[in-house]
Amino acid sequence: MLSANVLSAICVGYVAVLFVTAYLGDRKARSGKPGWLESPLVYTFAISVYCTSWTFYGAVGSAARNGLEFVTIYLGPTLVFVGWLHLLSKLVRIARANNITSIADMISSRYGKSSAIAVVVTLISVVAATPYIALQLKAVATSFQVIVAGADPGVATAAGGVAAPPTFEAAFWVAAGMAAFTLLFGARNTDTNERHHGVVAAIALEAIVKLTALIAVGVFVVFGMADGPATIFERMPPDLLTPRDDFATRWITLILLSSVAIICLPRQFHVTVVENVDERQVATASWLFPLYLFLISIFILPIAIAGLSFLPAGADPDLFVLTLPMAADQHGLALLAFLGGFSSATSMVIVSSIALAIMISNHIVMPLMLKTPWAERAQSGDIRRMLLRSRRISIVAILMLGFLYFRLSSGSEGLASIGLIAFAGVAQAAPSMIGGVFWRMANGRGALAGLIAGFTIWAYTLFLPSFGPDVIFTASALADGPWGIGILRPYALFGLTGLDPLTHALFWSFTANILLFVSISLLADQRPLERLQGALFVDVFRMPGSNSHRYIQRSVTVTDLFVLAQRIMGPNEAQRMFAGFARQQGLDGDMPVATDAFIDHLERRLAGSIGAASARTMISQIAVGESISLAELTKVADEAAQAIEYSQQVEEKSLQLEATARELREANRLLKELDARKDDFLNQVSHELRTPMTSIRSFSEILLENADIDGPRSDRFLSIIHDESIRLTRLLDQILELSQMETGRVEWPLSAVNIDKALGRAAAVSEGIASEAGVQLALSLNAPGAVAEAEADRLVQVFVNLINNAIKYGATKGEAIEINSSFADGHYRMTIRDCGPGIPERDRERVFEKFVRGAQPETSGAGLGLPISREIIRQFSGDLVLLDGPEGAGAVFQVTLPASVRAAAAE
Amino acid sequence: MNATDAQTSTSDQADRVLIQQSERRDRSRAAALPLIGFFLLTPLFIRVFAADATVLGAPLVVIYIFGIWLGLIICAALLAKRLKRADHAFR
Amino acid sequence: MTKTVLIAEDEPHIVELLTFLLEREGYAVTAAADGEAALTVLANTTPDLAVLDVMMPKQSGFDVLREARNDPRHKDLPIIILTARGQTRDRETAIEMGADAFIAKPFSNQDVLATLRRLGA
Repeated sequence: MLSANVLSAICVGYVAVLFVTAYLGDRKARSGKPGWLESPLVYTFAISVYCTSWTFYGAVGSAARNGLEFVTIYLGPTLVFVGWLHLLSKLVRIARANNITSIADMISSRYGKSSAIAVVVTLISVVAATPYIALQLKAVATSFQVIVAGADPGVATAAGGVAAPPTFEAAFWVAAGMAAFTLLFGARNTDTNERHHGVVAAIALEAIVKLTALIAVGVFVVFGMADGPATIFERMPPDLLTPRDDFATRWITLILLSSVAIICLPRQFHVTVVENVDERQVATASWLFPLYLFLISIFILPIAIAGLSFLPAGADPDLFVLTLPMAADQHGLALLAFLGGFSSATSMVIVSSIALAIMISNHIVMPLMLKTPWAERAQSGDIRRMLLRSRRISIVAILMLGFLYFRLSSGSEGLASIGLIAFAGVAQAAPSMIGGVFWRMANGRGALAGLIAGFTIWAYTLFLPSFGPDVIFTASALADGPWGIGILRPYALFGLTGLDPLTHALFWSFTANILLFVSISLLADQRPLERLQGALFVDVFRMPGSNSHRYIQRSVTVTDLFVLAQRIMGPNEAQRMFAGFARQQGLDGDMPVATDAFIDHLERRLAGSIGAASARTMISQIAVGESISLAELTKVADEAAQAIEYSQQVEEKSLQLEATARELREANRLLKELDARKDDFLNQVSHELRTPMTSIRSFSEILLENADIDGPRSDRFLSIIHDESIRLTRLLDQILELSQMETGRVEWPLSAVNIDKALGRAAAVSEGIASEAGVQLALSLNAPGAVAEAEADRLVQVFVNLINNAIKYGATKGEAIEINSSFADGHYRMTIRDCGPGIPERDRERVFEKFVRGAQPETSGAGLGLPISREIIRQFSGDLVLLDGPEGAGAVFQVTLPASVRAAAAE
Repeated sequence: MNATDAQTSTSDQADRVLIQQSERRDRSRAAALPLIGFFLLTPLFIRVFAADATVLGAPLVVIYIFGIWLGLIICAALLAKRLKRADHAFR
Repeated sequence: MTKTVLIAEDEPHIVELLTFLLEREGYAVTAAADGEAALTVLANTTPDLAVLDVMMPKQSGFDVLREARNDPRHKDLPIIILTARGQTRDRETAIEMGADAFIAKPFSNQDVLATLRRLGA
């Protein structure tokens, strides 16, 4: 469709757009108003550098071969990002507090700024990244060829057929172009924190292009080539989604691997942690980045299915994204797809090479230079220039390495497997990094041993064999083990068979890595600086971050420091920084006092340029009498622990207080109520006793003092005295009886009593009072055979009391008091409903209290009837209750007694 | 310190405690999210949903995986919004 | 002219007792069995003396006392509060509310008569 020249021109044009974007981004950032450059959206787009050409082309290939397996690569990062609050935000905070420049810097910093660890992590990263970069070059070269081949009618079928081997020429120029871009925007300065606004802006643009391109192809495939999702899925090969034998292990392995890779890949660590300018960006990315992954994944399966069904058999699934639009003669779309793939490849290569170059220059070149006499003699700004130069060389070298790998491996691997090899390599950094930020005891020797062991096993079981037979390993060594030693077979180490190579390699490398890391950490002691860094990292949210000077004491002259700073930062920058700190110290001149705080500040600042390990080495070379106060560290750690404990205590206390206050209020209310009820009770008792005594006393006084009272009248007075005496006696009897029943000292001889009969007797007794009050007793006895263990007279007494109460308090002339009995479930129930106003809600609780009486004019009881009745019924194991009912509908009392039904014989 | 001051500081303290509590709850939620996601995406569930059924034309298992995925994204978005707001209020 | 007395008391025997004592002193007695009845009497007549029991159904003696004092016609009506309750507080309450005398049950008849004379009613 397009000639190679035109396509090259388009590529150059596209790269030019990236250049302009990066240039504008850099300029905007330097103007001091980064604006949208620091928006969470741009940050998220930068993180999407995760989606390389492996995603753009390879995910479709993977889907065509293994069905849904491709999603695991995006599910892992999704899980890590939605759980950002616990890992990502901690990494970001640590990195910002310590001016961390790369993942190697992070891990080495944690383990006492160890150079050895930094070197090992750098080596692992470079080795693992090389095939990955090669993969991108291969993708660009291949896609370039496919597009160009499609232009020539003679080889049009090549698009659908087996792709021609990629030409190295195209790949070389791609590599060269990317190197140029990276050199221009990625190695311009050695600023603190290694932020590259221009690069980030260009990456963000590329993120948009690749997402748009993939979605465009997806939409075209689903709605242009097929009639919507349903028709696409109808064309799906029947067993595409059927889980294979090793589905479960690979599924879990890949999710875990990708979740580790999203943090440990040098480029991901760089964009997520190092380029982060505001911790709140992470909060947005926590859902926005998974959303990006979701969107980019959503059309993968449809595209794969379309490729399998529309293109001739044998077409390379890794190129479906490109060949599908071409097969449909959609050349514009194919070009867009090509640019999408180009974007995903270039952004990965650019960011990776920046991240790796920083690591190489800071952790390998710099320490080496520091060992030579040159460093001693270096003049102002020299080291800075040297660093930049080494960074540029590194970038070129990394790209050349990638190109070489691409040449050597001649691009035979599927895209996905190369990517996974890289993932497995960088994942070796995970135990020491994640362990390091959550586990104080983790120590450097353990980390180093784990890293080296994991890396070696990874190389032996996965990386080296990936070159294919007879490149590194001979075919026989691969099949039977080197020198025919079976247990050393790279794909079946120690006889472990039945796993696919990736799971196999991960199993052994992680086993060795974690085992060594943990056990050596447990066994060996930490160096003081390690312990300090461990505390600062693990407790980064609790410890005041930037004051390790509290624990490290050393002496150095400010002049020495200034010379050092100049060499690394350049004279202007150094002067600005020193003067600024002098002002902070409240001094007039440009030179601050070299306090521990200042030395620490400077070391951090230098770490932002050359890495923590080198910065520490350089300061240590000029400082004398360094001591790390672990006592102070312990104190601070204790303080932090105490502060946490204290705040928890405060919280607990205040919750307790609140609860106690609530309880007190409630208790107070109850007490007041009880007090009022006690007063009421005393008043009632007093009233019940004093009233009869008043009559007795006064009438007897009259009789005693007045002899002239006539006969009938004195008889009348005497009879009142007699009645009231009886009333008093009865009251005392009742009180006694009740108190005996309440204390359980009553033993009535119980016998089988027919309850309905007792009720009948009671009704007969009360008939007189009822007719006097003008009410009827409507008796309905429905449990003729029910018999309870009771005392007949007492039972009658209770019924009489209830009926009399109903007449006394609830009588309405001409109406009826309803008395019902029934038997069910082993219980006899008797209810009595009067026709009065009922008992107000608030009094229902109290009717069974002693001396409480209803409101009615005549006083013929002491208010003990109901309490006594209830006690009696309780003696018979039953209960007497006031049923809830609407106010004004008459009060309903219910007696319940355990009973049995006997034949008519009973009583 | 007079009585009113004492009261204000008590209520401030109560507010702080409430904020801490809600923060802690949010942190727990944030921790639970990936765990729940991982659990629902284990091969066992995938196998269950890999049945020969379709929803709106797409295979059930595809809808399941992408559905869980979208669910996680929505939960994370809500949580991030809450935390940002709380963070803002706190400053 | 015969002086009239209102006796508000729910215990029939005590009503009988007070009626006897007061009639012997020359009063014409009107009895009310509860607070409501007592208020009805006060609304319609102006007795020269009132004897109010505290614990009565419907309205208590204190309620009647308060109502009476709010009524301009009964502002100067001598009122004796009777109670069988055991609270010393009641005496203070009664005096505060404007009662002229307070007698606790059981009482000596002499106390009642002395109080009557003191009130000059």
